Amino acid sequence: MFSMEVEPGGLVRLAGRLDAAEADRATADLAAIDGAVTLDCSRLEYVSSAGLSLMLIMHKRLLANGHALRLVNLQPLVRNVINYAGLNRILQIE
Amino acid sequence: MEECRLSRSIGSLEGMFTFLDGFVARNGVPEDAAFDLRLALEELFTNMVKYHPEGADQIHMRLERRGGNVLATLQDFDVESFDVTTAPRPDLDAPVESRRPGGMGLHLVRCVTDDFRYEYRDRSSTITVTKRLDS
Repeated sequence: MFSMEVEPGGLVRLAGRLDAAEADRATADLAAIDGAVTLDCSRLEYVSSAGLSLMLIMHKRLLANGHALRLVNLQPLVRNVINYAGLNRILQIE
Repeated sequence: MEECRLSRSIGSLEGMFTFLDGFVARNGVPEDAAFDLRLALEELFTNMVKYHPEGADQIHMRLERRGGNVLATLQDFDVESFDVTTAPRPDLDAPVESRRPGGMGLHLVRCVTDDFRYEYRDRSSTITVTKRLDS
């Protein structure tokens, strides 16, 4: 189960498990968001490479328009996956 | 040992996770190890779905608690050989401009498992990962 709430000001709250099936569904919703974006991951329990690809694509798209993607409140196991993939060297994580 | 059969579709992930969650609960697998098994199995299964569309309709998955280890096996039938354990490692130091989506899944499998094996016989690929429960 995965859910995503988009709030004004570019705050996006992710919750549940972001697997390959859910990443396919979330792609269009995230592509519609412009400006600086903060992903609140406090309730994100799981992410796989499909979710990481989604974040990387979004980061590159925002960067090309002079904006940034920020990840906040990562749970430790999700943070591990991001670190394994080396995205901690690319994405802004707080 | 417990076994399930999954249709060759990304939509089968939900059923795969339900099966894994049940195994985890029945065998007292700690959550951090369950997380790693979930990740490894998703990456391996989605690879089979994406890169072997020619294969049989169903992919077999087996889970076994063996002492302090969990062995997870995916078996794909009627496919060409591709040894996933020899896939090139991604360049994690590459700048953002040259980072491309994809190519990360098998690297993650290596990161979260303690053993990763591939066997090919009679047009069948068998991938087995081992997760130590105390690692």
